[in-house]
Amino acid sequence: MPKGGGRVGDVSPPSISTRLLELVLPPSLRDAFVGDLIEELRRRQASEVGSSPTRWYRRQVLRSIGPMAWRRLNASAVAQTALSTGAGFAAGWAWLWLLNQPLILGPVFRLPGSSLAIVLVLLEASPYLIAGLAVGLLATAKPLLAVLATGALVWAWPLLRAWWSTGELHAPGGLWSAVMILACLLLGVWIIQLVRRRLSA
Amino acid sequence: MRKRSSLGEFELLVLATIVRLGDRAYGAEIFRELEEQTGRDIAMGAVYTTLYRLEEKGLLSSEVGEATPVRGGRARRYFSIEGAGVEAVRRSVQALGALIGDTHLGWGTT
Repeated sequence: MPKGGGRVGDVSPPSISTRLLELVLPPSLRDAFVGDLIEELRRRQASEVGSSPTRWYRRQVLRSIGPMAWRRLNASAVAQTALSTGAGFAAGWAWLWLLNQPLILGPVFRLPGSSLAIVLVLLEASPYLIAGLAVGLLATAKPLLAVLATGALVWAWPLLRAWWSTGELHAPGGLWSAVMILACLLLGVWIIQLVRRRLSA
Repeated sequence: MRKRSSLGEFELLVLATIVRLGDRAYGAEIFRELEEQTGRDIAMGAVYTTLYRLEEKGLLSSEVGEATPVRGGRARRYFSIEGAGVEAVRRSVQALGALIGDTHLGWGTT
């Protein structure tokens, strides 16, 4: 009998839902969480009140998987670094794609010469800043590691693409290119940390 | 002066529930009590993420309990409120009481 009295049913929990939940739950939570759901499932079955207990159980699993998977991800520095590196790279690449659309580039090239040069430099650096913002949002555990990983991926990407298409390895980009990438990534992470500190104050 | 972290609404509800249930409240019991008292449709995942966040803040402690057949042979995890947790609840309730005070809505405690 569960603490607090009441009858207990004997329904078995939906096995697929339970397996799915056990996959995403951190090991320290697994027994307690799943055990609580099963206990509540059987109490609902015994009390015969409300909607189907097994439907309730599946709904609970669906609602819990996201937060629990996120928690497990955040507990692992390696997983978090990998996720934030991927997200940073994807965000920067998406921004770069957007910038190359005629709707964006057209007005830029109509700017006067002096302004155009400055805007082009800023636009060239902006994908790395966007990547840094994404890394800053996701990499709460080891942001510097994520910055280095993202920077290495971004810097090496043109080499990897060229090697993939031509089979030849070209010389890497210059030192200044690497410095700019790192500086923009760090700036993005710093901006996010600053915003977080202001919001929590 | 060291800044004290404030409690979110759900964190306060969970802590207050544990105070109400007494020491060694466990997940399903906390979940049930929360649903009954608030009338909300709560996710067990939300209860657990809050419990663990409160434990990380040092407001709760937990220990593994006994496994029972009704739980498919899985052990319970019991949660107890720490002194800092009691203090956090007291501060939040005091602040709310001070803000509401003697309102024209008749909620006041005076």
